[in-house]
Amino acid sequence: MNVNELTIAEARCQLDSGQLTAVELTSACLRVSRKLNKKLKAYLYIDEAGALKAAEEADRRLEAGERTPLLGVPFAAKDNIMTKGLPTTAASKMLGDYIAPYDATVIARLRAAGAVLLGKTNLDEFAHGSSTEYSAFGPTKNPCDQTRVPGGSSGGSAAAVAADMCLFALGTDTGGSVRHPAAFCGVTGYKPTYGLCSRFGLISMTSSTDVPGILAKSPADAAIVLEAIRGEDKHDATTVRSKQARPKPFSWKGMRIGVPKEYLDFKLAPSMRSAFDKTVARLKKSGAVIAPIRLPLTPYAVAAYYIITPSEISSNLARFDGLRYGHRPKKAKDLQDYYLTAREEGFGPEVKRRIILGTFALSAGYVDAYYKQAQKVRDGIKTEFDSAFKKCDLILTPSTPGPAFKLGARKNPLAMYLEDVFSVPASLAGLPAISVPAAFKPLPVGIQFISPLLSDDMLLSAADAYHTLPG
Amino acid sequence: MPLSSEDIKKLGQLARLKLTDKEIAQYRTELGGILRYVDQLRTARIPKAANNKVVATPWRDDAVITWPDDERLAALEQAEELNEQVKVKRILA
Repeated sequence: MNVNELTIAEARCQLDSGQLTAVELTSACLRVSRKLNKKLKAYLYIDEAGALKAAEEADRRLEAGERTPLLGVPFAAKDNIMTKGLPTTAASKMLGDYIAPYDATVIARLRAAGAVLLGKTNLDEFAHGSSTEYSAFGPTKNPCDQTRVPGGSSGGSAAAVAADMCLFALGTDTGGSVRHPAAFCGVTGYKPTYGLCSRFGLISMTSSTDVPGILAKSPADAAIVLEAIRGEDKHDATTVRSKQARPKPFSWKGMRIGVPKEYLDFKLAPSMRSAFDKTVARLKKSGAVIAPIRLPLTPYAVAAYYIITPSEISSNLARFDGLRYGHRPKKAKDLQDYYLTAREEGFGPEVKRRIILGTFALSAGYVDAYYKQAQKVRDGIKTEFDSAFKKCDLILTPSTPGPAFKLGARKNPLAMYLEDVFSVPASLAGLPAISVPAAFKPLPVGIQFISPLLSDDMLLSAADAYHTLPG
Repeated sequence: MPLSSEDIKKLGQLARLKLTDKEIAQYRTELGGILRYVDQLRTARIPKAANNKVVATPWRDDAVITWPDDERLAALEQAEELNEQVKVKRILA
């Protein structure tokens, strides 16, 4: 086994015992990243010099006797997360030559913990998409089958973890952007409770649902990373104070697993259906109690999401006008033309589509019928989850309708939006959720656990117990 | 709800997006399809809000936070022209 294939927990033992150095581990990840990236395009930027320097520093700390969970562990970060001194493009021509002047809080915390940043990963432009095909710099390919998409929008991060180009990666999840690619690439994708991890330094998309998320090789690894990045941040007023719950031994005995009928009414690919049914059977066998629950607003979640999200996008992306931020056009007749040309040249088709849709949903005469109605549905979805969690401890759903699709297969934007059908409800309600692989053949598919607000530690323990459940 | 080409053009102006005729036609069809789907929101039966906890917005001190100089300068250096002041395009006629 090559060292880049290790989990964080495994690498920790070897780093702490002196069997492996951070420089060796980082070099192994860099070697594989360089080699595979030509085909996979998981990374938009690999920072070899910076990574090796950070690894040397980690080795010095190890030699001095420091023993901390992420010291010397190499990771990748999605390119819509600010990384000081490095390109941060959001996979858009609009920010093609932008260098982040500061670190996002999650990056600063990982660096302080001694984790080694390898580079920046590909995404759908501004994280708008579910396949990473909307990147202005070309699509990422799925490491399990290079004719297929890795999912999105954190497709580069998921592919980098799946191909062992790093030990873990950061993504962002607004409506499923960490869970969806994790399911497609066969890795763990965890979206924390809204407010548990700081959004400071994430390029804003939908401020009311954006969260930083973790792509890892196991839920236990995701829990290690969460410990380093969680907690209040004075730069993000929506963050909440939260300490890790004291670890309790987890048991499925008596755990009430809610299975919402409405999720299973959707058309599922046969491999997803069978992996889901097997999961239910395995959990039952382990002593869990399966509780049928109802979440009747589920079929409306995508519609509400695709009004709320474009609305916030139309407002958040107004700052990219060529003056305050972004691409500067060479030629313009007057100021108005300067703005128009900057945005015409800088934004790709999906970004424009969402800006126009959001502008419509917020415009006079339509705001009540669309934006306000979508917010009412969102409140209803929260209320339904609250009622459901009186009858169960965890909710189990498929992560996606099916496995990774072929590159270019989702030409219709609405068909792409419906990829998020199982992930958006938890995002709208701010709930923690995690996708874990449920089957790997013929292609990976994932199952999703959703749990009550701020019960992230229990969620990760449950996901890890599922991950390590025998056959 | 169907959108006309004029609607798309108007939205483009509001959003400061220059759109070609081809884009107008494309977005008209695509957004029409999306809005037909979204229109189902009107039929949603919304449960009475139980008691969705409203999280109070935390307050912070009304004080200047000093930012590290290197980061402030790194941000300023990306300006088109920097000479004690940031030069931008004239915005008042």
